[in-house]
Amino acid sequence: MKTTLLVLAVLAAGACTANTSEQESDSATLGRSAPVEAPNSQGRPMKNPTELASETALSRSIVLLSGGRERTLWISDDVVVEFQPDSAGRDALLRSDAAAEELGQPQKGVRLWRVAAGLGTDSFARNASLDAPRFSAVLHETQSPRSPMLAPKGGVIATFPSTWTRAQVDTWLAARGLSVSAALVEGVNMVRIDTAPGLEAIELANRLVESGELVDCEPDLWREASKR
Amino acid sequence: MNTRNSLWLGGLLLAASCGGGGGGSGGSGAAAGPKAPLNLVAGVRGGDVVLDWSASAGAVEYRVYGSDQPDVVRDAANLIATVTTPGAALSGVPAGVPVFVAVSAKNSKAESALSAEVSLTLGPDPLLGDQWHLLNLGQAGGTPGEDVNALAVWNAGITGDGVRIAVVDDGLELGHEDLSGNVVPGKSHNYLDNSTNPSTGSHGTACAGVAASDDGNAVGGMGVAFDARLVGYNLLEELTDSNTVNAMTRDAAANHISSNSWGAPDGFGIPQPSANSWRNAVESGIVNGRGGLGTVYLWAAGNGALSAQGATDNSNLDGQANFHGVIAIGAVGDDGVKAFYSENGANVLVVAPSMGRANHAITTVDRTGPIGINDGTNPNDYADTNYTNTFNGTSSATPLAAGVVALMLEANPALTQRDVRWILAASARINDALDPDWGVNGVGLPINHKYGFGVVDAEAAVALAQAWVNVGPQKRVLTPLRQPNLPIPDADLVGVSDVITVANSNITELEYVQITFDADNHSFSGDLEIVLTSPSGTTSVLAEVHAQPQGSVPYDAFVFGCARLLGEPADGVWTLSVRDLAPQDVGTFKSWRLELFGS
Repeated sequence: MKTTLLVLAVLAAGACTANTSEQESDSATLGRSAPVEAPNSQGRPMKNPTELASETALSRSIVLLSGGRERTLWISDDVVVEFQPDSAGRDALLRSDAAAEELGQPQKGVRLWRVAAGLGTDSFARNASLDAPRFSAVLHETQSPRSPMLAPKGGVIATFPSTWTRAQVDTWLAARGLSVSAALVEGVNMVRIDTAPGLEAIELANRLVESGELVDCEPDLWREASKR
Repeated sequence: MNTRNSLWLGGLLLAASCGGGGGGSGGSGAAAGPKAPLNLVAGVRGGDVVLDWSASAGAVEYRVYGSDQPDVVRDAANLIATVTTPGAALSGVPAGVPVFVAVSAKNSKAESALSAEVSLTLGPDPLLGDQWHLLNLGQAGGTPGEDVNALAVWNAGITGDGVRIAVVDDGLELGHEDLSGNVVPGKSHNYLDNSTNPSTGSHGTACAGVAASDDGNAVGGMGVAFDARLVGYNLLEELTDSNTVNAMTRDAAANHISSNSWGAPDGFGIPQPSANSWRNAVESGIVNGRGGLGTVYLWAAGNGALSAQGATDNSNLDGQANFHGVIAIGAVGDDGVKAFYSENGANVLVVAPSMGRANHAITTVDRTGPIGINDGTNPNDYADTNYTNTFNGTSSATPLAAGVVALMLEANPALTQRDVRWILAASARINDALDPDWGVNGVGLPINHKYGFGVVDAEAAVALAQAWVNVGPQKRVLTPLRQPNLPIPDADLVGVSDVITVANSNITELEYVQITFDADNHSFSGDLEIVLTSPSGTTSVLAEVHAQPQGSVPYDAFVFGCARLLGEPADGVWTLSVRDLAPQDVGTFKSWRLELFGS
């Protein structure tokens, strides 16, 4: 024998409530991971950064060899990145430029600093790294200093032919004064090789690519990203 | 369209306006009556049990019978409601007590036998009723039914049990009251200090909640796969290439799914190639992960469709979201229409609900205390700052899809990552049906640059997963490089095109196509529209004319992706058409090639 224990009423929940048919403003709905709505650019696409009156196009660049292509990255005039930021890093940087301005931490593992524009951020970072090897010039994808940022944290990621043994990899690197700091993917001959941070890492990666013996080699880049 | 949507709308709203509740008596059960209702499902909304079923031909009313014991008998003692159209919501059901329900259909002559019985035990998740993405009854002003459609899956006992999701983000609060029950102890990773505690990220914590926050624990709401297990990697606290390689391959034997609600900066409109090391890591994961079945990588398609920077970004400009080893997820609103920020792309496989209305986006977990997304300053957000109702973006759509994949993998653990791609596409639901971009590909699957194959549908995906036969070994064909070296006429509607003829590929069913395109001397890539036409005649827009307000980057052997050709044969004539639709900059269509993936 079953027991009906519930006194249940049919509810038409929501049906008697106001059900507005008008979409409320989208911009009011956004969480923090989504962008704020902005007018779309229509018509002729906006061209290069020189069309932005308030922008100064970056003029110095470095070439990164990637996948057999030469990729141009643009060097910030006045922003350097500090990796694994702490007070020792702050002290080291301020010794190089007492007027440096902290710009914040886009990720907890990196801190951005604005330094005097005339110093040359790559040489500035190299000098600051003498005290604490954790600085690099910030690079950009385009000539605009507002374009996405990236920076060599130090180290390169090298992929050797799958037929090479680890001993062969070690020997090849040792002949160039280098060594493996970590094997990155099991079953794939991909290793990390330590270097100082900064543009030297790009230059080393390019030299290793040009050797023609590796499958691939890239600097270990820090990258700006969007939380979507 | 999903018929359930209209049923909910018709059932609940009509029942309300007609005052459709009320008592009734047991029926006669004569054979002349309508047939017993089919497809009865039960779910929860707030404190109510909500029911839905398919209409029976000839029925003028439906009778709902319930009990706290199985095998409900159709008698007056068990009759709890009478309605005139399918759908009902039952209030006053106590938490923790199972409810068994069946429905009959009745006309003037007779009452049918009872439908198949469903049961449900209300869990006391107080925010569940706000989670329209799980069950959209219009409670937030959206369109009923525009949700992930998981009710029947849960009712079948499929909840993500045994499936592990790696949330690769800015962290995951391991001890959160609504997550801790599903967290795998000691298996998360903090890239800042190499510990197993990455608990500081609010974005990743919210993502984890969408996928797999706990159910029935008297707090918060629940994830779509509320019994799946979670690990968190706080990659976005120090996003270096070596850390990324680690996050993509870490614990690959144990992690089934890698959920990634991040990517190259949105809204710039420039091609952003992925790192070779990242591609190699994902290649390793899809081949070796999960004991050779392959890690399932889900990737947010991007939020730059209408960006503050002024660019109309396309997901295909993101060298991660357009890679063959990942599944790109876009976002729709609670009305089933594209979220304004969600990026178009021929690489987008499916979309998932994400964008709500004012004060009612996605309800999910937040960092404990007022230190996360809900910091206590938004009067429209929850007073309990351990939760938020403002989560949004393709960030939210992606873990929702990841949770659905967890349901699929519980239903059929033998699915490969390639099977998952097939099933998600083939089971997706057409949304925004009047959108003019809807078409079909060469094998009749609906496709749309905004929506891929449509909205993720958990019920359909799990049903298909249960019956699925694994696809055969994957074939990959890389065509020779074609070098047409055609000057692209400036500001010209005709443009130029070139063809590649593929023969003897042995690929009869494509899964993905990658297109390497080179016009590296064109000084403003945003001027170019690039369209691929498959041998079956399906056209896929790889790049649209768009702004690049922070400067341009050329298409320098850039690799686009195309998910739309699923099931088509690879052999035949492929055409790539390039038009420069804006004045000023010029360049050359130098070369292109195809990489074809299929079986």
